[in-house]
Amino acid sequence: MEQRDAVLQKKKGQVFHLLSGNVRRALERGNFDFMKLREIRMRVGNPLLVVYDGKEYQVTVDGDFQKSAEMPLRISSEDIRESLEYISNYSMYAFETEIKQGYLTVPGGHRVGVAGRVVWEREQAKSMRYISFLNFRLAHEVRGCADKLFPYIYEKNGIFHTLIISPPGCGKTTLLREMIRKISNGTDRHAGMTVGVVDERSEIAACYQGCPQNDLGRRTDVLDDCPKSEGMMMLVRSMAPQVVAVDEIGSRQDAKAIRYIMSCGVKLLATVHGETVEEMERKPVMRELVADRLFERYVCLRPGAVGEIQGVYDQTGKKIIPA
Amino acid sequence: MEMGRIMLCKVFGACLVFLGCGGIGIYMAVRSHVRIRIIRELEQVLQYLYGEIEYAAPDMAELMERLSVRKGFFSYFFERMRERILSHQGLRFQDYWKEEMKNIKEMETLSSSDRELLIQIGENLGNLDRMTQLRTLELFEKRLSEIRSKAEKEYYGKARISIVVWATGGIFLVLLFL
Repeated sequence: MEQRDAVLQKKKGQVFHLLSGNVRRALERGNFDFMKLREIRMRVGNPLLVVYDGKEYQVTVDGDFQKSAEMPLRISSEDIRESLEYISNYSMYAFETEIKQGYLTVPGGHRVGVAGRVVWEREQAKSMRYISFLNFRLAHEVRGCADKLFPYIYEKNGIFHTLIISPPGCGKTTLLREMIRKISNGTDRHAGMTVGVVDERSEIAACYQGCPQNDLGRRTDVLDDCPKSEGMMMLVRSMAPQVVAVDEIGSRQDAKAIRYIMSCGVKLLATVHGETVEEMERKPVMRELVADRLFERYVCLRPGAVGEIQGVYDQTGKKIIPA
Repeated sequence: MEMGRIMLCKVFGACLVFLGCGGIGIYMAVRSHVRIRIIRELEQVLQYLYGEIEYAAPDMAELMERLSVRKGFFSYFFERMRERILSHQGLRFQDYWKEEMKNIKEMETLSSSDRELLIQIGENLGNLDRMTQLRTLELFEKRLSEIRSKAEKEYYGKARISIVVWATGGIFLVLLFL
């Protein structure tokens, strides 16, 4: 119990430490379950908002969460500046790429979305100025969410080439992360395997200064902020993984890299946007991979739900579960 | 016998006065050399920052930590800076920089324009994009290099004058007291 409290305090500290003094003090006064806190939204001139237990609330100066507060804590440009300085450790130059993408990963694997005036150069976002909107999206791991999948993705000598198909926001990255962790650590029945992760958008491992903030298991190597296609081949050449895991495949280069690593005897664990196996058969790049039966298992997540498995299919598209 | 003893005391006193004045002259010369060493170290710091930011762009806390382990006039300053950065007390980077600068004891050897330049360096660290940050560092490095070469050129002349003037002053005092 004490250990759990200490972990919770640490997680809380990691987030609160990045908030401006005013916001931090208000939230510290509040009495709420940190694990249910999903988002903290700061917009200049507007009340501080939080998404707590699936609902949006305004935060008062005393840290109370109210649907419509009479005296909400209003965010000033100083609050944004202060938070940005804390997030970047007073080093905006160090987070240029992240700011261009619109988010930063911070210790604990949390994401801070930023918005402001975008500076364009040659039809590309060069940087962002006058940042006036911050959205702290808190990462909470969901342990055990992949447990019931495991009997279906393991074969004699390891795992099947597996593709997770899911619409956005249905938990495919969370599921992938949990699968990586379990495959890497091993289970009662299966020995742990060396997993190489290509984390193009720092979403899987959420690396901060090169260290994964999410637990991906003890036999996992991470290539952070690296294009998937190049990263897959780099991993095979350098780290000799038994399994390579990537998020959101879909380009021609990805397909080429997938064929390459499969020909090297490496197993693939990947995710893709979509809803069904049939849909994959219609997508330009995925169509060829599906037709060649490169994937041995398809895991489809239910649209509109979070983390709910709709079905597991074999390489011919035949449903395995639910039978 | 008595006269001889008095004479011996006078000679001893004269030597002390002369050595004391000469010592002050040497101290003044060394002091102006400390200024050159500080500026040289600052130049190296800026070169290091330039290289690191260009290569991997680590954040300021990490850079300050790495700089603090290098021996020199600024190691404690950078250690304190790192602590202040991570303390999240609500101040700006340049405020921490200015406050911590006051605790560098060799600061008094710098001229007011040197100190002003140091403050400006602090004001221009961290809050810029990478390219501008590198250009700014380059600019400050150039200015420091100019200041150093000017100080080095002036140093030998100044040091000699300082030692000669103080030693001559010592001789004058000796003659006056005798």
